[in-house]
Amino acid sequence: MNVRESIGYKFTLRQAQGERWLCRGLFKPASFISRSLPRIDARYFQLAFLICLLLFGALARDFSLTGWQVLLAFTSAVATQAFWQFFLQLPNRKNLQGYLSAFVTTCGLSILVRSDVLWVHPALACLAMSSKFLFRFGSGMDRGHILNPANLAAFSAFAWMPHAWLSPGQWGQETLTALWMLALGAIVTRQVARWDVSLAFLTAWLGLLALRLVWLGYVPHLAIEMWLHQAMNGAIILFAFFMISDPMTTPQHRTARIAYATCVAVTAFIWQYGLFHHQGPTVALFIWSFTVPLWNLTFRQARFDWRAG
Amino acid sequence: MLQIRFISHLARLTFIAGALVSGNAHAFCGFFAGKADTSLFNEASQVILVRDGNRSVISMLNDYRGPLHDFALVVPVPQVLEKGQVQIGNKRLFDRMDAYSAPRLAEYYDNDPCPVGIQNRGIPEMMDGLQKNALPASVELKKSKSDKALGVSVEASYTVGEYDIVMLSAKQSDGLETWLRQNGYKMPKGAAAALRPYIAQNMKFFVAKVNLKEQAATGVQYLRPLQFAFESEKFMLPIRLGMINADPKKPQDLIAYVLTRNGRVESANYRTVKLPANDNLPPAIKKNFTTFYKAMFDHQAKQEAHRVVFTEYFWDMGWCDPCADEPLSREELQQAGVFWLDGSDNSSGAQNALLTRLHVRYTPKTFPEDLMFVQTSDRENWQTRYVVQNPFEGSIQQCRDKAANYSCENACQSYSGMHWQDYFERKGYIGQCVQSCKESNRFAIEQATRYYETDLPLRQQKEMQTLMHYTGWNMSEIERFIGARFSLNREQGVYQTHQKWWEKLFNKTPNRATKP
Repeated sequence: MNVRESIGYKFTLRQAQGERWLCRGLFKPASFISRSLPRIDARYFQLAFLICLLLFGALARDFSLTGWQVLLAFTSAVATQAFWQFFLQLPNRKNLQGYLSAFVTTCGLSILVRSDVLWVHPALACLAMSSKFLFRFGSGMDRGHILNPANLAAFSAFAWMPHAWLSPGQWGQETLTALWMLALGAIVTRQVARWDVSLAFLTAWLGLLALRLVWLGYVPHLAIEMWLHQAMNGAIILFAFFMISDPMTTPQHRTARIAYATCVAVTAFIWQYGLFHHQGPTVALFIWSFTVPLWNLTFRQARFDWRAG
Repeated sequence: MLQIRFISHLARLTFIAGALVSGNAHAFCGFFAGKADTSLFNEASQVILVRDGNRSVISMLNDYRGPLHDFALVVPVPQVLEKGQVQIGNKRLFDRMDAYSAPRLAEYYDNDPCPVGIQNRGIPEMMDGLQKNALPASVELKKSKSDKALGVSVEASYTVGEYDIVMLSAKQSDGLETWLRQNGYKMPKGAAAALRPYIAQNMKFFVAKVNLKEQAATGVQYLRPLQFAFESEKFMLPIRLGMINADPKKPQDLIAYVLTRNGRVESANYRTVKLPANDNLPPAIKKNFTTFYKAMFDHQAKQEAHRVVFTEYFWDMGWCDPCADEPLSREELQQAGVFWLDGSDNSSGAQNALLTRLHVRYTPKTFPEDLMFVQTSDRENWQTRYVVQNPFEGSIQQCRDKAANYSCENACQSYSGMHWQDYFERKGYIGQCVQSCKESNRFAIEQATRYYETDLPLRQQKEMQTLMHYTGWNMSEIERFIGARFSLNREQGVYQTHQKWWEKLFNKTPNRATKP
């Protein structure tokens, strides 16, 4: 597999070109980066950022997560992925890229789910990875899994899995943390051209929160403080950029995607502020995931390919 | 005029510092040595919150010290509370809850690092000595017309204990504020604006004032806690109402004892963190543990910029280890509002109730929203427990002297004497026994040397660094706290104390009780 080498070469070539543009005074860093990066499987970026967030969370945010839970989740996710790939004789079964999704799911799972026992993380990893092969819809090139593995794991931990729970406030509401997440998330979603879904969700969600505060009649300065407090919630930013932005489980057509993200935000808002339950976005995404095939049938577009970007 | 007091102001409490009561220490391998109860935090509101499904029972205790006719209380509640849903709580339960879940100090003692002679496994009487030495020394310390015009309606009105209670529903916050003023309540500025969001959420208002006749009849000098039971999907505490006139930067404390059936409780809209705990600290903190704990909490709260909810305790109510006080009995838990304990069990044994003690230090600026809670599936017991490990009082020289004064010959003679049937092998055995005994004594001196020169200094240094990390104190602040000066021995990396001879003699220092 020469993917890494070819990536390295392209970077070198682009860097050289970049230097020439710089000499001519035509260097535009943003366009330079955006032209260079799409060649790489976006999951490498996703993975790198998720590892950073996991480390930051575990070391600086008091995550009650143990190394054994992460290791067992990793082993279980890779083993389950291997089992299904070899069982179905899939072409990527012996390639690293065939297992990227397992790595990403392990990180997502570890960041989101908490447990006081060791078996929960590997069990959810197994369930999440298996769902990719069991819950599929469509035919030919458009066939694909329905549920986002990390979302299924998070929903299971919230709804029915014993000894498992989610900590909605675990990231705190600090501006700096939120901005870092926003920046990293923007890069990843830019890579997979799914920034629209993140932006649509955040706009709808934060808009609804703002409308609620205005309707409740809070004095303006307090309403702004409350809205900022809700907007800076790391868990929401993480959800917007690392879960609902999954190109495989969101509608392929842009219009459909934006409408879909808005539906998720409205459902999440009703769940959380109308029915007073927790984990609105996670629950709403799980419910709306089952409608993605319908969106794709109505708004037709070629299915996303990780390597094409 | 009645002075209105909102929820977070109502329960400022000062407890008389409890005596260091010994508790169940059976399952504990160290010994309970002290606790830091709420008497430390004079501005701390205390609430007992019992929650399962959509049922809640809330008990609130206040430390109001002004004239009783001035006292009034307004609490937003999700529904109209009928007379049967409100009762007088038991103040003693707050004391019990506090005592049981207070941060605690556990004390251990080092064994004698100089086990002269006892390594000689051939000598039975010395094995007895080893078992005796292995036992640590025990220390057991633990509201017409005008109303309609205002949009306010009195949904219910009744008297419970010494409190006259009205349940109000309102359409306009201005109307509510006017009603309260017309009825003799003195409203703080900004009250209408603060009440508006609660009215928009269709919440009702529980308004209580003291009925002086009834109060006199009770014979007690303080206001007893109010307890109410209701059903609501909202698992929250309306802390914002208490912040109307608060200084935006002045922190207030809230201690919530949350009793649940399935797991630990944490905040749903703020970060919940566990306080640093369960590390070894310098034995000197034992003398002023409460000062240490207060300094540590202050430091940790500042470090988190008053933006987090701290977990101080989470434990199954059935037991404790170590116990700062006896776990609450079935009867006490039912009085606290634990409604699921119906059944035939007696008060003894494990209770199906989990206690989460949350300590929040908040400012109006850092806690813009009311406090929302969520029950997790976490059942892993956790507590703020600090450990002091007392060094063995001795020295290398004492160990050498002990070894020199120990007669291996005599010990071996007495041993062999017990086994008279081995008479014919006695001579050879005594030689082996003496040799083994002397090797054992050499090993004991080596072990004592390692203990006094390496292990103990390293441990003391680590303990000092932990104390610095916990409290944010620098060296001079630590010296003031402990009441002794330290110097770093560069060769050994050890902090050495320098006490005046009279300080050593009288075992006290002038600055010991002074807060750093």
